[in-house]
Amino acid sequence: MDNPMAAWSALQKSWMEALKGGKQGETGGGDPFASWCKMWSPEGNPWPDASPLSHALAAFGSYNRLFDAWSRASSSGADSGAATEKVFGAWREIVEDFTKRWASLFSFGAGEAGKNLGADPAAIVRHIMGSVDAFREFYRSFYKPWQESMTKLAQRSAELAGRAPSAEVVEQFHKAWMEAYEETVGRFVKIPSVGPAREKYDLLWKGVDAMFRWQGASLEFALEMQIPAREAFEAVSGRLGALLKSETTVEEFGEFYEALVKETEKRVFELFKTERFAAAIRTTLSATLDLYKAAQDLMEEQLRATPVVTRKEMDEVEQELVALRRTVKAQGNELEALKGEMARRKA
Amino acid sequence: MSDNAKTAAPAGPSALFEDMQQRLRKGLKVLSQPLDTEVGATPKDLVFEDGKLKLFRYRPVAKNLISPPVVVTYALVNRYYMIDLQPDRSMVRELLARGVDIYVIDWGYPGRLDRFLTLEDYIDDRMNACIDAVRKRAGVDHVSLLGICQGGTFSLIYTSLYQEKVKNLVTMVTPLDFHTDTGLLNIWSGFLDVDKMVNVLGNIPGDFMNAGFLMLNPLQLVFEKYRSFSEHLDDAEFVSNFVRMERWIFDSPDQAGEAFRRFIKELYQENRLARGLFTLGGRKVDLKNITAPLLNVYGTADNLVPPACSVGIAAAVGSKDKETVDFPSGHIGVFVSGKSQKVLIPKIATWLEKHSAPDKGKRKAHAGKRG
Repeated sequence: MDNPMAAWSALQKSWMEALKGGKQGETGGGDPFASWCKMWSPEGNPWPDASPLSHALAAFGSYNRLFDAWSRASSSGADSGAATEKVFGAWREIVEDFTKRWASLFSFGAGEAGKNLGADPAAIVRHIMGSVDAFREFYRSFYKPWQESMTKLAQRSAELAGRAPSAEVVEQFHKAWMEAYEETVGRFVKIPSVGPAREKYDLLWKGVDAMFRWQGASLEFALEMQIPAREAFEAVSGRLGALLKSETTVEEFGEFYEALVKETEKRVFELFKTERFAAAIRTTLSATLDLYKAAQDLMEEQLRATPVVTRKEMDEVEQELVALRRTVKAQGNELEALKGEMARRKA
Repeated sequence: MSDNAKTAAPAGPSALFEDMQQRLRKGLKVLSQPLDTEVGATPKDLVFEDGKLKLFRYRPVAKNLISPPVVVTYALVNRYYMIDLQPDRSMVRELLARGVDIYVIDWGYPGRLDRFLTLEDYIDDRMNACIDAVRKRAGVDHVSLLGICQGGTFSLIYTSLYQEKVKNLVTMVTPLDFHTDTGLLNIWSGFLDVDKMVNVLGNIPGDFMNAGFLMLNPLQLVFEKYRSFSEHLDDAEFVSNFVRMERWIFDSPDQAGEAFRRFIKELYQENRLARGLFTLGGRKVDLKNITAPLLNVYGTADNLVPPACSVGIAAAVGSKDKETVDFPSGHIGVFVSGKSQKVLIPKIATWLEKHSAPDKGKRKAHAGKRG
């Protein structure tokens, strides 16, 4: 092709079609690797058909179809866990196939020297597949519950979305959302940092986590505060209809307002006296402070790389300064007392 | 409702909006005129300072002054000019007119460096330095101490440790027993993670404290107050007074972190002062050490310091001469209500005169000397 951009575009197109179609012969789609090769070498494939990359790419087509199925299962709230297991299975097969072929190529002709260098095809496959299995285990213990939580949340959201809008619906959605968060990102953030490098990067994670928790706590607090206002409005709402009639006077509006305030006040004080509300204050405040602290820590970390003094450093200097001031003051007082004593003795 | 509202002709929802518009138009006229919103206008002079702390003396107006002078200790959380908010509602002016010689401690606005200030710094060091400065200046051995709110609690602690420097003790809207279930602040503070607050924030923002106070009565203090204000927008005097009060309410210094930590933990959460377990600078604070005559004033409708927090002060101190006054008002009304100006403040002045130093009685105001 004369135009390289057109060639590139054609390559992408054929590749995408091949990926969508999957492995040649099974689905009727094209082999993406073959398409790629043909683009660069119209006379024919310069690589052997059995190249590991060609096989891997073809297998990836099947994987892609499974991935589509998994995405649909996840979004529809169906059993995405089972779908993911299938994707995992396909992925494992691809890796195994690719690894075997790659390992055989690597050792081709290398003989004893290759083996001595660690190019034992069986060992390579074993090692790589061990890692794949370890990853699958990680998925099962961690990611799978994550998927299940998200599926649960999707189902719950769909159910709540079908109901008439109300404060209860918002509250229940919020609870479902927070539960899903705790079971997913919340769990991830709780994994202890391993080493200073991880600690450094975890600052960002902790900031995100603090933000979610603050958002959750604030919403919970707002919902808590809504209860008395809603109840009070319900108590006086019977008067609202009459109030909107054209003959209503300003005084009647005033009376309605007074009644609303009185009802709300009564309920607000009932709520404020409860330990539940005090605990909500504590949770919200605590979440706010965590967010503030996370931002401080991030800032501290960033400033360490600059010639700007950090808060921690300032605190240390200031604490020392305050202690010095106290010492100077105490010594000044002692001096004054001694002066007085001397004056008395002289007199 | 204003007169305008009552005579509004239209009816229905439109009546409400028309009425509001009328008031707004008149209100804009008032607001476009110069308004007198000065606070703390009574003349005073700086007589001592230590860092951000300042000690002022109000210029006496009476020929003969009651001895000893009175040192007013206000809370850290709000500004002392509540006692001199406006000329016609000024506790300071009323007391000055009756011959009381008044000094007031201005704690100032804590900055970053002050986050390490402790209760020892405030009471043992600064408050003590102010009282020594007054004693030296007035040539007296002891002073009358008038503590307001948290300043009252400070005064109780101070008098217990420095009884020899205090002739009379007046406590106003002062909390002592923090373990009563009548006050929302008492309930909420029990749930505060104060260590976390101080460790993260350093100084506690005044706005945070204010938000807590507004939450005590959110409908009245956040909504109703402004509705009422909108109804009186056409009343210049009302608007001036409203602005003064707003200025005071939102003029909240930050709280020095370490002092706040201890005050909340040991007083609010553990109630150590009332239980006789509080220490300052390694010394036990025993309120029975207080032998000075005591006048304790509390507001019967006070929601910041409910009567139950304050009523036990008389029983807790060792004084033989003690009196408790339950005044029918809220926390602020004790200082600014009309009844307070007419009844309570004169009563305090009379009490101080009755308990003036027997050896000196009334003394002449410092002739030709300001401050």
